[in-house]
Parts: sequence; structure tokens; C-alpha cells
Amino acid sequence: MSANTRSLENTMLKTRLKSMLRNSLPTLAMIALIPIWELVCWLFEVPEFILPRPSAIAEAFVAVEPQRWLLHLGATLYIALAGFALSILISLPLAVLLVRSEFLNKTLFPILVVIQSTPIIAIAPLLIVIMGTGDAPRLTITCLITFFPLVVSATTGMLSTPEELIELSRSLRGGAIREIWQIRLPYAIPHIFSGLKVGITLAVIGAVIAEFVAAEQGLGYFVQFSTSYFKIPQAFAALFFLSIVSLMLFKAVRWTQKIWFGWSLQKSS
Amino acid sequence: MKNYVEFIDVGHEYTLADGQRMRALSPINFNIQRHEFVSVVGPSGCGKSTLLRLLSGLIQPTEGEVRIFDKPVTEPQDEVGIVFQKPTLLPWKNVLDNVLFPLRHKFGRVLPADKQRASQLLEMAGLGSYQQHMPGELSGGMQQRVGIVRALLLSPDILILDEPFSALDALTREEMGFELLRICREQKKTVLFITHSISEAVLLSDRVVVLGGRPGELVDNIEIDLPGQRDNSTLQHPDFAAYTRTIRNYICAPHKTGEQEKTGESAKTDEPRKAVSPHKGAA
Amino acid sequence: MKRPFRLKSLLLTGAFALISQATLAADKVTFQLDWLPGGDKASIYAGIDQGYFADEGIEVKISQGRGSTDAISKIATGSADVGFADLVALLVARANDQVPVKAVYSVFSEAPHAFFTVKGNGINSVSDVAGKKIATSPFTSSNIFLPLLLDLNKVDQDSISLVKADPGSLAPMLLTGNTDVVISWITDAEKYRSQAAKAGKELTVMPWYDAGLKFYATSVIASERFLQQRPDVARRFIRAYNRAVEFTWAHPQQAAEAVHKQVPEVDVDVAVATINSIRSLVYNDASASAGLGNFDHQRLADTWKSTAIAQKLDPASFDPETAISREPKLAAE
Ligand SMILES: Nc1ncnc2c1ncn2[C@@H]1O[C@H](COP(=O)(O)OP(=O)(O)O)[C@@H](O)[C@H]1O
Ligand SMILES: [Mg+2]
Repeated sequence: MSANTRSLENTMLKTRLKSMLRNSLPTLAMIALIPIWELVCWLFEVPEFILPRPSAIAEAFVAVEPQRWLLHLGATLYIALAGFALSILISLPLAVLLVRSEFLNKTLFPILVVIQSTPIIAIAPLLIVIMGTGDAPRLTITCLITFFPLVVSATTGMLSTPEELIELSRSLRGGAIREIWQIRLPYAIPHIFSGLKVGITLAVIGAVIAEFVAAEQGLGYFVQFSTSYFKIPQAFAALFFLSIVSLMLFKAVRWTQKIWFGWSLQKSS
Repeated sequence: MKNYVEFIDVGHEYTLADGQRMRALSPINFNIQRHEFVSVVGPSGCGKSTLLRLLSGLIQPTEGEVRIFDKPVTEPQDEVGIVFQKPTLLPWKNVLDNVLFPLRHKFGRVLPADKQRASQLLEMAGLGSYQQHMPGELSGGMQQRVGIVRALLLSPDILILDEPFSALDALTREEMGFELLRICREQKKTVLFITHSISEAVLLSDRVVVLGGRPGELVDNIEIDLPGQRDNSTLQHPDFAAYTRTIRNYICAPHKTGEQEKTGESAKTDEPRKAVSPHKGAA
Repeated sequence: MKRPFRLKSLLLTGAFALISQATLAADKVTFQLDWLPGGDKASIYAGIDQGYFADEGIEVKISQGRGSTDAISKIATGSADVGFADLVALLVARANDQVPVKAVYSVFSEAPHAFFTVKGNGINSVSDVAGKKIATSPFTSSNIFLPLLLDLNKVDQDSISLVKADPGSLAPMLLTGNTDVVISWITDAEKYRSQAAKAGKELTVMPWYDAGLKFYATSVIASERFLQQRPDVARRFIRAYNRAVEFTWAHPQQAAEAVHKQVPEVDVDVAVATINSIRSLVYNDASASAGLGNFDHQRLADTWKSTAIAQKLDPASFDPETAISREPKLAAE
């Protein structure tokens, strides 16, 4: 009996270890890459301004005081998150309008596509001139970059609601607002979350682009500053920091979905 | 004899996105009487779901008139509950909340008494211990049961079911059929049951309306006169086989024999054809 | 007995308040940089650090920029009052669009454009670039003056091959031998030099002002609105800034530390080296004869003429004097 339970525990442990290994595989792969990278740089004497060694990047990272990192991180996070939140506040009602009205869908959607295909980085300096040097242009740039996948995913999600549910709603005469609020929007949640996952990484990119154009703080600004002083390892350190932040935000969106909208994950699995 | 539902020369044409009109249903006549269980059978695309939409008031017929309780149907009615082919439960709500959904959707709120009633209905459908489960955790059959309970919540007199068991395996399907029958008898429902399974239609119904063709037209309207309570033994009854064969002949080879032309004529009247001795038909 | 005493002290405090009113309710001025902070912008940071602006009752807020045109448009739209910009960019902007911005103080009275190359390339003067590969960034104003420079030095334009690349990639291109010459600004020489040193190479800098291109470059510019509505503040600002310039090149170390104090990302060493290496842009024959910060009429006319020719504009179509306001400076004297 006890031998039996022990072997059961063993297999359970084994599967858990296996899944842990599988989950940490990407991280392990990245970690494994570091010594190879270091070795290649050392063997071929790759100049620092072309590809700095991981050790040089690490050194550059440590050389910057933690408060400075936090300051830049805070600035970028603020713009990325506030811009992202704003983008959600704009996109969801917009998606509802697009779903509800054939007319708006025909007139508004092409405009959205035009905005989306405009290289935001090209109009960013204009935005600064128009909106001044405060947070407004930075938030606008972040919003412009993130809103499209959100609108599209929310619209697609709401339109993918089974026709039967819409008929049920109409047979109950529940009204347009309840149709959106109680059926279409929740049904779009899985889609909206895939949009959010794309959106959050785009928000970071948006914040960085905005910082390239006008900023005195932020990781994007710091990257630009470092390259303008040819401090390539420092620029790389900032880039790594940036991608880790991006990854964390992405995970945060996933956790949010898992905790509050766990049901929406079942579909994919 | 009171007609709860009347289809009077009802035909329907859909208007397509490009403005073209597409006929889905040729004008037909038939009635459903009080507490009667009527099935509609016919091949795919003959307008069965269109019938459901017409009766539930989701669409207006382009010809004729649909009447419920002697009043024309001009908008969705409270007297009608609908069960769809797919359970279409809300994946973010548990079973109990799914059943309560029509109330929440119609009135925006749910009272404790409603919850009690929903629980009772679930209990009756054998789902008492699954109230807190999420739809994803239930089998297809159980999900469809929840769908039926949801349709019963607002206590409609008339229940329309559109191929409710077509996604289920054969065994579950039969079992669910009898279960539905029991519920409908208990709750005294008048039922329009849409299916493309002939045996299912014969097994459960008091009457079978056969649709055929594209656009759909009424091929026959057969009273099913099988003795006793419907259960597994009904399947063994010789008349059962005869009825199914008759209907299968309509559907598999329509408008071929003289007899079918005659039935086509009889279909134009709203008087259901009295059992044309299925024994003879079988012979 | 107590009461009058108290009153007296109150009056006294009031008087003090009046005297120190300038510092209490300082005039706020937003200063727009034309690029990121660094040693070449040390003067404004030093002025703040040394309290020169505070002495004049001015509180300066620095706003970073991304190029001269960026700075000019921000000042034109009112996001900033005063700032740095290349005079050439201002002349073009005024000639084309009549932007309401004027130059009030000349910081670099020689243009910072230069050829950078590495020792051993056989290039020792501007005329040696004939037949070479030259890399430049796409948007620098230097590009406009290149044909003029080549003409002046009798270099056949068709003999050179000009490639355009992102500013950040110019130094690597030069050091890896992907290009023979790079067009850059003397203000960046220090950054190139330290990169070159890391690659075991030595940088050669050939300023274009040594090869015949003589004109004004970085200047302090101000919006016309600021000059009209707050002429007194403008006057005091220029007075303080002039002191800041003198301090910066007299005490490069302290000036560089001032930058670092306000922008920790800037290294003191690099900033000191930069300040030293661009001294000739500030202190030269032109500024010696006209006076530090002043625009000489003839040199200004020459600057516009070169610009107009390079930009294919009619030199007579615009009077460069209209782009300059001499008032604040004159008042300061
Ligand atoms: N909303 C609609 N618009 C246009 N045509 C439709 C629509 N719904 C159904 N049809 C057409 O009407 C015909 C009957 O459809 P339906 O009533 O769904 O048939 P069944 O349920 O018997 O398969 C089919 O040819 C179908 O293509
Ligand atoms: Mg159908």
C-alpha cells in the first residue's frame, strides 16, 4: 500500500519536474546562449561598438545606479501603462460602435486602417509640435500604436458570438445594451485578451518611440542617449531591461486573464 | 380541440446582402394543438430553422400569418422558449447562472425565488449536483440539458427545439429524447421539435410534419398513433417501423411516385392526414 | 509696548521681501536644447549651477530637444521661450516660413562641420577626400554645405561616393573601414576619439572652417513673443548666459560637473574633453572682433549667402538681419 502511494508520489513528482523543465525551457535556452555569445565575441574579437559581450553589458548595467534605472523604468512604465489604459478606454467603445453600426463600420474602419498604416514614428515629431512637450503627445503616440489590434480583436470577438445567442437575446427582447454587455463583450474576452497581449508589448514600443522623439527620462531615452554617446554596452543593457519589462507586462496580462477570466483560457487549451 | 399555434399560408423569402431575394419556404399550412408534441423533419436546408424563427417572432413571414393563441406573431413572444442545436451556454457563467441568464437578460436582475426555481428545474433535469459547475466541465448531453432548462425558466407554454440532439451520440440522444418527453408532459408544454432524424421524430411525436425540397414545402402531416407510453419498447412496435419507412420514402425519393403527389395535395389542407394505415404502407 | 515693536519687525520683513522679490518670484524661462545634453551644452547648465540666472532673478527650466528644427518649432509654438539652434537652420526657416523666432546670441561663431577620418588613411586635408568614400547621416545640415566646400577646395563632386547612414552607425563604419571619411560635428569629436582609441586607432579631425567655410552656427534663439512681451527678462537672460559662456570655457571641469549634476547620464570626463575640443568654435577671430555673442553684419551676410547658394535660394530674397535681434545684447552692454 505505502509502496504504491510512494510510487504514485514519484510519478507525480516526475511529471511536475518535467512540466517545470518545459516551462523554464525558453529561459534556459536564453541563459545557455550567453556563454556562446561571450565566446564568439572573444574568439573573433568583435568590437564593442558592433556587438558588446554579455559581460560588458552586465558591467554597464551594474555601473548605472539602481535609482537611475528605477527612474527611467518608472517613466517608461508610466507612459506605456497610461497609454495602454487610454487605448483600452478608446478601443472597446469604438469596437462596440463598429459592431453595432454597419454605417460606422463602413466609414470608420477605413480611417482606422489609414491611421494604423501611418508610420507613427514619422508623425511623432508633428504630434510633439501640436501637443507640446508634456505627457499628452507621448500618451497619444502610445495610444495610436496600440489601439488597432485592440479594436480589431474586440470587434472580431464580438462578431464571433454565436448567432443563436444573439437570437436568444432578441427573443428575450433584452435590448442592445444588454446584448453588448451581457453577451457580445464577454464572448469577445478571449479575443480581447489576445489583443491585449499584443497591445501591451506594442505599448512599450510606443512609449520608447515617444521617448526617442521627446523625453528627458525613460528607458527609450536612455537607449538613445547611450547610443548618441557610443556607449553601446549601456544601450544593450537598457534594451535588455526593456525587453524584460515587456515580457513581465505580457505575463501580467496573462495572469490577469488567468485570475479573473480563467474560463476564457479553456478554449485554447 | 384548441390550436395553440397556426401557420396560415406562411412562406418566407430572405433578402440577401446584395439585395437579392431567396425563397426559403413555400407557403405552408399546419397547426399545433394544445399540449401536442409536433416534430418537423426534412433534409438540411428545407427551411426548418426558418420555421423556428417565424414562430418565435425573430423574423416576420413575407407571406401569410403565424398565430399563437389566436393572435398574430409580430415580435418575440414570452410564451415561446427556444432550444438551439448547439447548447450555446455562456462559458463564463456556471450552470445555475446560465439557467438564470434569460431572466437577467430580460429584466436585469434575478430574485432569490428565481434561483430556487432554477434549482428545482435543474434538479428535475438530473443536474442538481452540477449547479456550480462551469459549462466546459459538462458533457455535450448535459450541456444541452442545461440549454433545455434555460428555455423552461420563463415558463413558456410553447417550446421550440431546433435539432437539439444532433450533436450528441446515438445512445445519449435516445435517452435525452425520452427525458425531454417526460419534462414536456410534466410541465404541460406544447412543442415544436425540429429534427432531421426520422426515427427520433416518430418516437417522440404526436404528429410529424414532413418538409421537403428547396425551397421547403410541406410534404405530409402525419399523426403518429402509437400505443402506450413512448419508451425503448416503442422502437420494437411494428407501426414504428412503418411510420419511419413512410417518412423516409418521402425524403429519399420525393415527387417520384403517384402516391407522393397525392400526399402533396393533402399537404395543402391544414387537416392532418389520419394514419393511412402504416401497416398498408409497409406492405 | 509690544505692539509697535511687532509692527516694526513686520515692516522690516516686508522690506526684505521687496528686496529679495527677484529671487522669490523669479521669472520663469524655458530653455530648449537642440539635442541631448552634453559638454557642448555645458554653458546653460553651468549658468544655472553657478547661480548666474538666479542672480538676474530668472529661473531656467531646460527642455531637451531632437535637432535644430525641433528646437525652432518648439520655440515658435511657445513650448519654450529661448533655446539653441543652428543659425543656418533658423535662416532657412525664416526665409521659407517666417517663423516668429530670432537669434539673440551667437554661441558657435564657427561652424562645427568637419570631416573625421582615421590616421593612416592618407587623408590630411579637405582636398584629399577626392575619390574617397564619405559617410554622413541623412538629415544633418552639413550635407547642404558639402558641395560648396568641395567647390571651394576644387574637389570634383563626382569623384566622391557619398553614403548616408544613421548617425549611430557612422563611427563603427569609419573604424571598420567601411568608409574612408565621415561627416560629423566637432562637438562629437570626443565620442569618436574614445571609440577610435578602443579600436586602437587615432582620429583625425578636419574642420570645414579651416577649408574656407566661414559662418555662424549654434546660436541662442528666442521667440518674438518672448522678446516683445518680456524684453527685460530677455536682457537679463542674455547677460547671465554671457557670464555662463565665459565661465564654461574658463572652468571646463566645473562646467562639466554642473551638467553631470543635473543630468547624471552625462560623464564628466567626456564633457570636459568636449568643452575643450570645441573652444575654437566659441573663441576665435570672429568672436574676438565682434565681441562674444555678437553677430557681425558681414559674417552674417556671408552665412546667409552660402546657405542660400547651397539651398538654391535667391540670396537677395531675404535679409538675414531680420532673423537677428540685437536688442537684448546691446542692452546688456
Ligand atoms: N439569414 C438567412 N439569410 C439568407 N438565407 C438564409 C438565412 N437563413 C437561412 N437561409 C437559407 O434558407 C434556406 C433554409 O434554411 P434553414 O431554415 O436554416 O434550413 P434548415 O434549418 O432546414 O437546414 C437555406 O437555403 C438557407 O441557405
Ligand atoms: Mg437548421
